Amino acid sequence: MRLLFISEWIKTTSTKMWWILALVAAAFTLLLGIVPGILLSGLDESIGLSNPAAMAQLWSSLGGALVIALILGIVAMTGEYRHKTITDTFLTEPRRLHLVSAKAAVQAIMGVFVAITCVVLGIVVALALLPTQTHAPIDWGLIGEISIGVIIAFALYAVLGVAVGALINNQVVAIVIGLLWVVFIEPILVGFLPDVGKWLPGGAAASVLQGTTATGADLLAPWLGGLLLLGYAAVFAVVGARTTLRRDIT
Amino acid sequence: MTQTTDPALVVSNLTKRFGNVTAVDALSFEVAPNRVTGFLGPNGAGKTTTLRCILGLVNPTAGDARIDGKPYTDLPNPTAVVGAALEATGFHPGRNARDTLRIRSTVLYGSGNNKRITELLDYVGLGDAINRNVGGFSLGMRQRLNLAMALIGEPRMLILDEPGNGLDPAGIAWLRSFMRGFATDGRSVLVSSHLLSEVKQSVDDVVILDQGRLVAADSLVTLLGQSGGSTVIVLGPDLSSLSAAIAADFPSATCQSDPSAPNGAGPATSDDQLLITGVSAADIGRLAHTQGVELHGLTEQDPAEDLERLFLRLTGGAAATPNEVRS
Repeated sequence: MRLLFISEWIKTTSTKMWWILALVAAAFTLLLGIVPGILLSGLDESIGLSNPAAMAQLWSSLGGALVIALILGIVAMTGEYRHKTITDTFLTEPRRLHLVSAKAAVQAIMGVFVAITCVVLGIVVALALLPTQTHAPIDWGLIGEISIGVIIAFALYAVLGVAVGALINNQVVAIVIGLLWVVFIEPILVGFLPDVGKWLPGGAAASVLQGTTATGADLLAPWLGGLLLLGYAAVFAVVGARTTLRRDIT
Repeated sequence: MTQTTDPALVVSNLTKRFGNVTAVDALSFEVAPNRVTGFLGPNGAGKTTTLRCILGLVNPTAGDARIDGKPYTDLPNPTAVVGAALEATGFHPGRNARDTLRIRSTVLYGSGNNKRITELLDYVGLGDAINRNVGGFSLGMRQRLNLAMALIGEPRMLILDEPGNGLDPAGIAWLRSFMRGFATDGRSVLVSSHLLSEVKQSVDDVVILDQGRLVAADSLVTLLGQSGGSTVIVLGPDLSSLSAAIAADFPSATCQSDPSAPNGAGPATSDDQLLITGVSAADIGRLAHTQGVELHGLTEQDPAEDLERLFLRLTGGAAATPNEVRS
């Protein structure tokens, strides 16, 4: 299992996808979160950063690229089918669940890497831009808590992505379903069934992301949300390993 | 360790249906150690499906395949027992040859196998391409990388699916001698092909498949014996009296008028053509002389062409056009 993990590590780091996705995630965080969050705050008093709640909102946007972590995991698993490397992969390790587990462990680390990229770049850019605005004091304790939440949530979403990829091995279909779920399906479900929301993957991730800073929203405890995400991943991975990954590879 | 006389691979009653199509139909055969076994059949005969069933990539509808008594998926570190180079195996285009091999070698030996990998890539002729991305490889280079992937575990058995595709003549010659050299010390090779020319000089045993069914499984020598010995092709303006004389003098001989024989030698003239087995060319020439028959050609066929004739006969010839099965 240890050697399989190292092998999967080489598999991931020997192509460009991991840092391309890290760059995409960083661009996401900066261009859709931090930069407009600071520069637009001066336009409207209601989103002014002199309000500590608005500052907290700004820092929570460090985790805005969470969906990229999901895609990272999906790509790692489904790329094997896309490039037909799955044949050699299963020749090397025929035990499907072993393979998915090793992949998930590697992608968890990749998720941490992507999260750190987003957090560090986000903080650096924020520190550079904040002097252009009036803002509430920088709460480093809060930033630390949010950063830890972002890192854990990204790692768990990358694991979930691997499991989704084990269930749906067509890369395009898996990514489209993943995006639809995050952007449309889950928000709609939550809209109709607010009580269910916190038990869904997005709600569980939100509990991890916001952790101690959750303001009023009805979320699980962060540790429970994290376990729930792992539970989803475990169920998808086991089902995928027994069904999708058992199909004929021709 | 198993005794070297035990079969390396036993395929028993293997059946695979895709919907209504039976790709492999109750197929049984064995691969013996120290032998190169040619797995032959026209395109679509079920060769690749069979190989993928053996390797646990395709789930058989019935039957099984055992390597050293175990299904592939139950072997611990299977690539150290069986090395497989399959058709349509993909490589990540953005990964270089060294890393492609490291992915497997790490599982087998742990990390730090640069020397082994460099030597192996040199051996298969990719020494200059070690750090190049596979996306830029030709088909022949991919075949060589595929072979390196099969060999990295130092397996006792090789399963090669159409390994000559994309190789130049020098590469095919190298492959032949490689397979011969590999199948010693208890090791074995199962090599599929629809090109007889690729295997006829390098196989000991032959398993012939047609429409998913076994049509022959024996040593090459025995099969050639069954084909009735070597064939002599006789050309001449009127051979009717010669065939009558042969029938009288050599009752066991077969004498067949075959203007459309796929031997490439058929002239576009009005000459008769006889395919005669069981009589030597010298005897036929002597008979023609005593009968006063005019001959335009008297050729003993290459034994490999007899194999091809046998192959076409066994597989019905319909699925394999002369272009696909050429020697």
